Amino acid sequence: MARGALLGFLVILATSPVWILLTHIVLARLCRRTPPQLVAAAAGLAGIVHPTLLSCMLVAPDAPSVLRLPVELTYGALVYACLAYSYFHLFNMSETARRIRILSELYVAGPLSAQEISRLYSGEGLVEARLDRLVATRQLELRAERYVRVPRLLYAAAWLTRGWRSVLGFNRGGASRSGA
Amino acid sequence: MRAIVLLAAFTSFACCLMCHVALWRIARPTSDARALFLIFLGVPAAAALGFMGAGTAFAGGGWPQWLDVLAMLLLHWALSVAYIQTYPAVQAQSPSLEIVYAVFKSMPRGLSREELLTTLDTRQLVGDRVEDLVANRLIRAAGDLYILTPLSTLIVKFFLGFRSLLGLSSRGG
Repeated sequence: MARGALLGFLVILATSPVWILLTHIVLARLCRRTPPQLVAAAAGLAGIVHPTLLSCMLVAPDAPSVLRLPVELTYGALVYACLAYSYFHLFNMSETARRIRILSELYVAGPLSAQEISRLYSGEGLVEARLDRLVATRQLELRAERYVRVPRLLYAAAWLTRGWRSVLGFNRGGASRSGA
Repeated sequence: MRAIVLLAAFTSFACCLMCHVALWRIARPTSDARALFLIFLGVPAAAALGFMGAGTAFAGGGWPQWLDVLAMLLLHWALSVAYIQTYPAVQAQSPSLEIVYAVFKSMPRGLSREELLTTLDTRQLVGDRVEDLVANRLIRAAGDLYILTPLSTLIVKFFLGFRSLLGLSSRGG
């Protein structure tokens, strides 16, 4: 692949989150009744259209498309998948992250004590919001007042995060923290 | 593009991952977010700049071409950002994943809302995250009050602007 075409290809890939954001802005307004996390995931999938078209048409209009070259195709798919995944999690942070919610409470209300933070954002409310969200996105089912049916993929994610936590030494009683 | 670019990116990511695991097991940093950014993004970027500089200064001396190094760095960063975004679910024990784990383990009976509230330590869910914010210097304690720092004010404004662009209500959580 020509060096100019490769540079163009890298620029298109590096800017792909912008296309995901623009797609997300449109989809969020079209699908107001759909759970926001599903809309964000759909934007991540749909956002691939622009970088693919740009890579095919603009980078090397007279040469064979970069996407017909196996190494470039693998490279592009990997970079885009990682960036789309990161975009989804960035959106998830705005939607579910406890730390962002605490910062938002402090931004709106000004300085707060620990008790005031707990009153504005209680642990029980947090769990209930997550239960509602898991049911709305069909990750859990509420049957006769009991939560049942978890997709195996989500359970695998939960199992993996627990395992990785052990690898990092979080579960050791005396895990130390330095001042780095 | 040569396949070695893919191999180099995965190798550098694996090296960073090993440094991260070793450091966390030996002496976990107080500010884990800063340490992750340094290990996964800062150090590899500095190394890549060094390679690019050497490749330009000593052309033909067996150094990789700057564009290949740039391609390697982009894939390395993409993998690293994906990992850094996943890390909070591991570090802070994502309540959603804990719910999923508890419900799966309780099948076929399932769990009621009350049983789930008992299983998860709801008092710690918010308190621990306040401690994390202090450790990462995103809020500071003044007496018994917590105050935002300039960086965390910027973070909140970013997320408020992001949600406003999407036409969503100001706060998630």
